[in-house]
Amino acid sequence: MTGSAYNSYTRIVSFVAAALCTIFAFGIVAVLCLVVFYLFGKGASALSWQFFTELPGTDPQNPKGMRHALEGTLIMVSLAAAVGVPLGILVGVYLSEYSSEKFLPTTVRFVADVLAGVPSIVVGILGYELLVVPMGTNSGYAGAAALAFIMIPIVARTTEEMLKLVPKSYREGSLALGATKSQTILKVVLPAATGSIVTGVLLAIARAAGETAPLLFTALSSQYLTRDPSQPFPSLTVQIYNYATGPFQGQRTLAWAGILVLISLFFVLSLAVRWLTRRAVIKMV
Amino acid sequence: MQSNILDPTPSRMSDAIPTRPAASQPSADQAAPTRRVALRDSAKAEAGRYRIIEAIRSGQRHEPAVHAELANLTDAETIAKIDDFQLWYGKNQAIHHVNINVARGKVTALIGPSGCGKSTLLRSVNRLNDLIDGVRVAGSITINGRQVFGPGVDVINLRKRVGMVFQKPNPFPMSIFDNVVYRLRIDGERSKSTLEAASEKALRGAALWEEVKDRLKDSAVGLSGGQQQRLCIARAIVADPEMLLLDEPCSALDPIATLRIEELIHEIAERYTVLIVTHNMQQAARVSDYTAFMYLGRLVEFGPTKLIFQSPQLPETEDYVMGRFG
Ligand SMILES: Nc1ncnc2c1ncn2[C@@H]1O[C@H](COP(=O)(O)OP(=O)(O)OP(=O)(O)O)[C@@H](O)[C@H]1O
Ligand SMILES: [Mg+2]
Repeated sequence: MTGSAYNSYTRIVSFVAAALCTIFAFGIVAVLCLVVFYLFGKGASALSWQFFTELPGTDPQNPKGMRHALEGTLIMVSLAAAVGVPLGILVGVYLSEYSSEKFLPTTVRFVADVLAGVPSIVVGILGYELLVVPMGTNSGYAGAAALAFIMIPIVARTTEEMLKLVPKSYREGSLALGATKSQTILKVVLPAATGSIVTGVLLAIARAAGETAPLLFTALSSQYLTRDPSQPFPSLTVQIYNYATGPFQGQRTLAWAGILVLISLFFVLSLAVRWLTRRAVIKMV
Repeated sequence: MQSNILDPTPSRMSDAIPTRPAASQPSADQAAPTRRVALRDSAKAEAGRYRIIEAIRSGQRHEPAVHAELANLTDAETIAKIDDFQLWYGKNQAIHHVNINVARGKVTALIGPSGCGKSTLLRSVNRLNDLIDGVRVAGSITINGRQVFGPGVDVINLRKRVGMVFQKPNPFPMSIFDNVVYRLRIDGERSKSTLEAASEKALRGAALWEEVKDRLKDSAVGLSGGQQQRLCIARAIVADPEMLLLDEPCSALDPIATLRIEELIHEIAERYTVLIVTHNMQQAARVSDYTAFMYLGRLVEFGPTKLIFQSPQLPETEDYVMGRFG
């Protein structure tokens, strides 16, 4: 009797728990859908080819497009990645493969973790003090440097973690064949982890492309199509910020379109990351 | 522990194999309450029988039983000389004063209970132990007269001259072809025809060519365990090493795959002297020409495999290969 009472009690508890979990899970998805639909509703109407092909133009009330900002983000993120990705990978390789002594790697790892958690506005102010002030002007280079600074710890830590997942037997096999340590890392260890490292790089790129605060202090913005990063430089995020807080309805509408483009970019990157992760895991086993 | 010649393990083993009770172990398969006493009795009975093991356990130096055939190998017949070799992991000594002559063109097997230092000794020959912090060595190992340890030794070059195959097949996550020619590529070989010719030769040498010739570009990870292990052998012999080290190469394989590897070992031994660690007595008996029995980091008996398995000089060797001990 008590047994069955106990049984039905546990059954009720576990039913309630499962129900709660399901409800909250649906809740999260619902919120996300709401956001996406809202964005879509707001942005889709403003999104046209013009958005991608035209500059804001001369009429501040009705800017036509954000081509300059799209290109600006592309250029700055590329510059940042060109510096940040190799550096981050080097640091990751050091942490995972060359850290036989104790003090330095622990410190580097700690610093990387702190940097990864630093609020991005701090990076902006740092960039302002260290680059903009000495150079005397806001510039795309300063913006790219700030973004690289954000990317490095992310890339370094993912690289380290992924390299540590590469089985020791690969390293031993390679060394036993007479490969040097660097040959082993370059030819066996890194290739075995490429998929997962690319995942980390994509995450870092997504993060950098979505940053606003560091760019406000460093690259600032521009209304023109410029390819000279030594000048104030446009970016999608700062442009969105400026227009969203601007006085004109036309600007605010265009900001929504920009947000939609940004979200779509994240969406694509996340899909790529998922796809790559699945492939990378298959390769590791 | 020292007064007990037999661990609990062997007594369990003789329980499990009642058809082969050791004569000198009269009460080992009695009921549990009397086992302690029984063990102590048998320990006394064995005290005279396991002289060398006794000496090893009490930490004394002992003379291993090395059969004349191996003691008298000429330099030309010897490819590797392990001479009074010792190794420490930090403070723990894993190898004590081991002398083994590896005969050229033959298969030499290392046997002994788990933890007796077989892998350690094998990994000393190509200095793979260097990767572990705190490893120290004494004595010497030479391969074709060239020192393995010592100042000025080029470890990379040493490892290029000595191939190794591990317990668990470890093909790299790249194509079959890339795996086989890895050793050549690290030497900077780029010529496609050279690489192709070498890979075919190595794969034929490892009895794998017919199975993979149509899918050299496929990932090596998709091969069966036995095929992967033969691939690892191909990878190890592609640049004609002076000798091959095999660390329990079949212990992760099924019986059929094991058989194929054993046949292969026979075939390649003449060309690439083989030093093999194995847990499997039948395997040692089947594949090797010489067998070294190790215990607690020491060499106990070393002789032609036939004699080791049929008429060893020491009773401990006889009991070990019969599965009555260790
Ligand atoms: N990396 C290491 N660090 C410290 N001690 C080690 C290390 N590797 C092995 N040892 C010790 O050295 C001794 C010999 O180990 P080894 O692996 O050579 O034995 P083995 O004969 O190959 O055993 P098995 O048959 O189980 O493979 C053991 O006591 C082991 O604990
Ligand atoms: Mg071992």
